[in-house]
Amino acid sequence: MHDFHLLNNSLIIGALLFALGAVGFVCRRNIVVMMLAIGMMLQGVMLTLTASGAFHGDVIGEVFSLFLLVVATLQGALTLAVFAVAKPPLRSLDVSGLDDGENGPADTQPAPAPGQTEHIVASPLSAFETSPAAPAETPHE
Amino acid sequence: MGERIDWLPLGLIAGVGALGVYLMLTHNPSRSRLRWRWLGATLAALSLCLIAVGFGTRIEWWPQRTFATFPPWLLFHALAGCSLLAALLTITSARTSHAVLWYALLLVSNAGLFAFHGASFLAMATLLVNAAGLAATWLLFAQHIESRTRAQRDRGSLEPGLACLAGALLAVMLLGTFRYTLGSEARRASGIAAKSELISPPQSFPLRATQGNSTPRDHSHAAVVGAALYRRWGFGLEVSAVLILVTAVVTTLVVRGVPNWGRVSPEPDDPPRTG
Repeated sequence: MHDFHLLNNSLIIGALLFALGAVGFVCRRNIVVMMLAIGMMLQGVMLTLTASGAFHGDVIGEVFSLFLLVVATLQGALTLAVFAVAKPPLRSLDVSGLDDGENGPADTQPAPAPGQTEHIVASPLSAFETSPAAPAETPHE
Repeated sequence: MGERIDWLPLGLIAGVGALGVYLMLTHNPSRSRLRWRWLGATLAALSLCLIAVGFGTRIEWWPQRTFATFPPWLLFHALAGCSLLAALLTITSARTSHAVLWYALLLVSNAGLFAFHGASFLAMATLLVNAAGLAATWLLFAQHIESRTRAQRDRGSLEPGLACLAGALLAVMLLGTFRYTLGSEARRASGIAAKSELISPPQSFPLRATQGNSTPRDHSHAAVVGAALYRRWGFGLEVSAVLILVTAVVTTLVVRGVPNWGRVSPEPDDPPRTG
């Protein structure tokens, strides 16, 4: 009976880890934290597999978790390699600035000269931020 | 027929937890976050306690356990709480290096939980590969990137409200599914145990990792895992090994560049000799 208690509690922990990892991956803009959130989800799945395998008295859960561990390691290695050779070079961990192309991440750009308008990517958080409103972009004729 | 699920209390508990996570996430950096983070942490802890009371079950161990001097259920709950706390702080930390360190703590706690289930080999692999290797690599990478620019912090989160709501819905569905499936199993198991009184303690701690296989019980746990890998899951093992090899080669080529195989590069002209 205590095996079931351990299984039940472990499944709850695995589910919460997976949910927290999903929240972190969706809402965080930091590349490293997004990768950590993916690893967190994998940890939740590994815990679920291990607990289920132990409950049934088989090492299959642990074996599958080892395969997941290999997948997580490969994912981290490839991601780091891609970041290392990114063109233009990665100058910020902010993933929302990766779409700026040659100019690089938006938060590393110098302040616009007087009279020039600054192109600001609209953020869903604009309605909640108390920072001064960005000047409207003048249409080019 | 599964157990009837009360979705309303589960939804309320998940909602409280989601609100706590939302308050702990990074928002406008100019606003004081410490007060809101403490409030969010309190709500998240309250939600976790309610989940433990409503859905968790107390782990009962016999007093004849080798580890009876330190209650195993206390150790399990300590590891579980540490793991969830580290996970929460990983996704809500404003500094990247702090997030990586909290993630390393999460890995260490999970390794302890793996050991609780008898997966000692997996626990050591998690510590060596994930905690020592991957987390350290991410930490160095984050430090390298941040050192080339001004100090970078998360300016804000992308749709934190919707993300927390989605996470709460996900947690509700998972916990509800567990209660629906495992609840009936528990009733059947308790009914059988009450009639036959066949509850017997496991032979050793950790749990019966050596049972359910054809290997003798006196083999170590690593031998059992090795036997399973090479006898039953040999194909998966080979595929994993090939993936590791391919990834290593591809990573090296990506970082160093593909060499000019077959193309003759012109030799630089020798500088004319003087004198």
